[in-house]
Amino acid sequence: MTNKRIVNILIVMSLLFLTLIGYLTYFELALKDTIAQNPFNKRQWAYEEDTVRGAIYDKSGTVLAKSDDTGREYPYGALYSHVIGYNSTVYGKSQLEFKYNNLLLGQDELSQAFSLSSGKRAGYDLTLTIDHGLQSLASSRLGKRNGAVVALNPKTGEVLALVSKPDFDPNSDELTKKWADLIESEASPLLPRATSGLYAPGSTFKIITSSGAIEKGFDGGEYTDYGTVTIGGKTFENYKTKAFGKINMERGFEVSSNNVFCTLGAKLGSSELRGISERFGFNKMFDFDLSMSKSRFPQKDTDDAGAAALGIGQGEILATPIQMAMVTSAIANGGIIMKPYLLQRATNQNGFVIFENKPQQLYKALSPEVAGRISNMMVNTVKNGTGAGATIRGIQVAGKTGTAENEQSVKQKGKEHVWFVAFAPAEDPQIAVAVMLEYSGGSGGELCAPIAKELIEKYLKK
Amino acid sequence: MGSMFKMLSIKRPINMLVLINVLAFGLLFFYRTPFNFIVLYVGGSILALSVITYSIIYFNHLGDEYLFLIVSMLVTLGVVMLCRLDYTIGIKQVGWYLISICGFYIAYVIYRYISNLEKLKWVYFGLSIFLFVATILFGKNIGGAKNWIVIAGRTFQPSELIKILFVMYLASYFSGDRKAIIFKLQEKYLVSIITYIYMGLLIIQREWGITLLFFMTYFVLMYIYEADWLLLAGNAVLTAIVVTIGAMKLYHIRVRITNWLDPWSDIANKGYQITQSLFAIAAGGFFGKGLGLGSPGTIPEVHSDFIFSAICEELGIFGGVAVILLYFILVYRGIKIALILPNGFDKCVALGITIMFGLQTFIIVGGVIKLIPLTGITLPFVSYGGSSLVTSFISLGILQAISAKGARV
Amino acid sequence: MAEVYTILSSLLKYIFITIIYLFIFGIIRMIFLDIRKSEMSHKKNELPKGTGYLELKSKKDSFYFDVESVYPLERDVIVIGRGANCDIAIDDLYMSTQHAQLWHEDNEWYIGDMGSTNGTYVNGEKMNEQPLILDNGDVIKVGQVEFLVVI
Repeated sequence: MTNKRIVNILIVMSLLFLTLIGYLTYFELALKDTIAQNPFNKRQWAYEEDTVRGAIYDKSGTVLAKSDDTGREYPYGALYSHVIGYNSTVYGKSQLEFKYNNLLLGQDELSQAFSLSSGKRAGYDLTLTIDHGLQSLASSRLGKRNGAVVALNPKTGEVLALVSKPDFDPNSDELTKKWADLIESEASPLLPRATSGLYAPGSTFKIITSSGAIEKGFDGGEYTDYGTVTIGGKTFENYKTKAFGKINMERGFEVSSNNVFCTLGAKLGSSELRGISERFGFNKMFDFDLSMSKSRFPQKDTDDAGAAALGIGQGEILATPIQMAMVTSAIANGGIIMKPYLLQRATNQNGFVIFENKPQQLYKALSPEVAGRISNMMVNTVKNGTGAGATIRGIQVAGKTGTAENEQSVKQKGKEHVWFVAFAPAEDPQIAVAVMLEYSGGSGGELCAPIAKELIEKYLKK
Repeated sequence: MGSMFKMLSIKRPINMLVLINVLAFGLLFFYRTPFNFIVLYVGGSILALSVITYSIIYFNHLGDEYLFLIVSMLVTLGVVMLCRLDYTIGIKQVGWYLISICGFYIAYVIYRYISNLEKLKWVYFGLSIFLFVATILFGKNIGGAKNWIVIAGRTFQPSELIKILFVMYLASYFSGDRKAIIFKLQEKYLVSIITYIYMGLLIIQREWGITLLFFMTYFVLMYIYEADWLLLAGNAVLTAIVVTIGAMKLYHIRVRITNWLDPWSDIANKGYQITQSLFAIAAGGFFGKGLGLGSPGTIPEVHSDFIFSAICEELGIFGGVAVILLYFILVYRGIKIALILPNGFDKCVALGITIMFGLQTFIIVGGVIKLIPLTGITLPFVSYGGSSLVTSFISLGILQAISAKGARV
Repeated sequence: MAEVYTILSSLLKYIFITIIYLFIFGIIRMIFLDIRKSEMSHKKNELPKGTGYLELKSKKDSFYFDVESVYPLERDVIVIGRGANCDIAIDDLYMSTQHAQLWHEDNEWYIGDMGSTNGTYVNGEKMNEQPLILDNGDVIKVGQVEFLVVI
């Protein structure tokens, strides 16, 4: 009897040792890369000393980051601080400098095997999908205001512009000088709002609510909108409590009526709304060149009052600007969201292409018919509704405004987040944008739509 | 002529031991300029000691031939690594190896030919308490733990010796008449209490690793021998409670656990050791960077607790796995030796020693790869350290003697 | 010099790993062979009392063919040879299809060569056509295989 137990112990020991071996293998296969690139790992420093780090270009070849004997230089300073990030011996690496560190050092398996050449190694150069002109314009139009701009090509998923404000100068000397301030500043300049900031989407969410209404056949009703509506004991007001009289859903969309969409929200219910949002990418993560926050639609079901709030993009919904740009590109692309990507290709010093990225479908959010109807509503929003600020002569722009209450706006006036999402030209969309200003007050139509208009104009009139 | 080629066959492990010794130390000779002849002497000594002892065991049929063979490969790998890190330490380890082999022979002879060892239960207990007290009273604090005694300028860790005494004590109990009533307690409860006392004393000295080792060994032996499930379960529950409370209250334990789960948040201070270990392992790849081509010097304590990380950096994951396999075969042989013995003192001692080797390996390797929290114990036979090496070889000698006694059956 | 060392070490690392694993597999192999040998000796101990047997004297792993350590002499006539239908069939190229015969008569064991190409040896001497009586402790050799006769 004792011997049997001894054999059991032998089995347990074997399992223990097997676990050690298994974990080592797992470590080597899965964890090793992330761990090795930690700035406290002195081994990397020596390797990096011996390598000319690859340059980073925008889609037309403008140099956005390059290395020479004096170090890493970012000619456009703060403009790409949240896209390319920084490469500091003290603070490590961030954003693309971190994610593609291996490529920038030319450190893939092949070159690792034989590292005996003399002279400095050359890393791979990266070409991004960014349009520098667009990025520049977006940044200057945001100016000193905090917020984000995301511009995508809805047919391919290429990220044309990605701006987050406030930003900072990633060049080494400046970074080291200002680091303490950057860390302690309440404005969090190191936070990449475009991808990681989470905000209530406000009325831009009505795109999703109306999709649900159309799919469920609730789109036909007539509403009497005198500026407010009370559902489940809570009262919701239109922007400036404006009254619109007898309107249908389409008109309600154009003027961004809360009366209509609170009603629709309650009718659809939180569970249905969640289902649709998730089709657009809420509560989901995907593999992107930069780290992102997951946009959230609350998991717990709510009552009618709660659902009404959800219907107008309030309640506990939180979205990143890039998520709203993706929602917009779904409408622009027949209901299909293409996977956003920043890295177009990596080439070695001889111009040989090491890696080329190809557009990929990510989510199928809506059928083309429903997307088409929403598209029409968005066109009319710009023609006859709140989005007039985005009108461009000769180009049909489709858009939706948004003004979102947040934790500060309930206490103080003029602190709402304001949004504008748009795509153009409506009949054959080339660009989808999302513009968001944080704690800004005012309306999306007044403040964000003009920015979107300029971006679209610049991009389409090349 | 044919039989001479057979002697050189790659199928014979001893030849592989010779080969790796020659190649590795040969390579280290060229490691730095001026070329280091001392390294060759070190290699030669290791080779000579290993081959001679192995031959003595093999040709005189002094028991299981695999135990020493495996251990000599482990020692060789250890000394190779130590010479690469710092050849002066390599020299010292060779010195300890020589002393250890003497210890091995002495332990073998004593255990093989002296009878009635099972009756010395209270001697083992008494000796352990004496050593504990001596350490607490006269011990020096080295490296944060007050568990070293200095004799004639040489430091040694009494807790290593207590490991063997503990096993002998438990074996005396388990193989003896367990019905005895002492101090009005059934002996089995007394043994539990004594074990907890030992663990308490170790905890006072901050020897978390050895405490864990003691407890797990006791638990495993109890599982094997004890018919009283209640006692077993009771011990398990009691320990779980104490550990949880300790983890929450005791700063030291809390620190170790948070450091295990997320060393990155305090990477410059508390997390420095384990993160440097992980960097080293990450740098190695499957085949390693090559002997002398990595940067294991960035790891603190790389000569002792973290030598496994240095092996993983320069000899790769395959190297690390090979070391683990070697320990596994050792444990397998030890258990096999115990299995064929009739119930008795020898069987239990063999089990205790084998289990301790196995658990110790698991605890330290698991700690340095961050599978489990880090504890300060050595990798037997490989880590630098006189106390560790000598007591490991004494244990091995006892195991060897038991295997020799068993073979005569 | 540092570069030469780097190249040497980078090449040797593969060799080191190979050597260590050969060591490990060598030990595992030896352990397995030991297990087989002890199983064989158990079989030997399980024979009914009084049965004779042939015990393999040559080293088993020096042959490319399979051969047992013990062949019990359980019948009255036993044929040794390379043919598959022999009582003791050994695939040794130096053995003839029917090499030698052992039989039990009048309480004695006899051995006779069956006209083999390479001959049968008893205690080192090659047999002629005359059968010989076998004693306990005799050593017979057929082909490359040497047996100790235990009866």
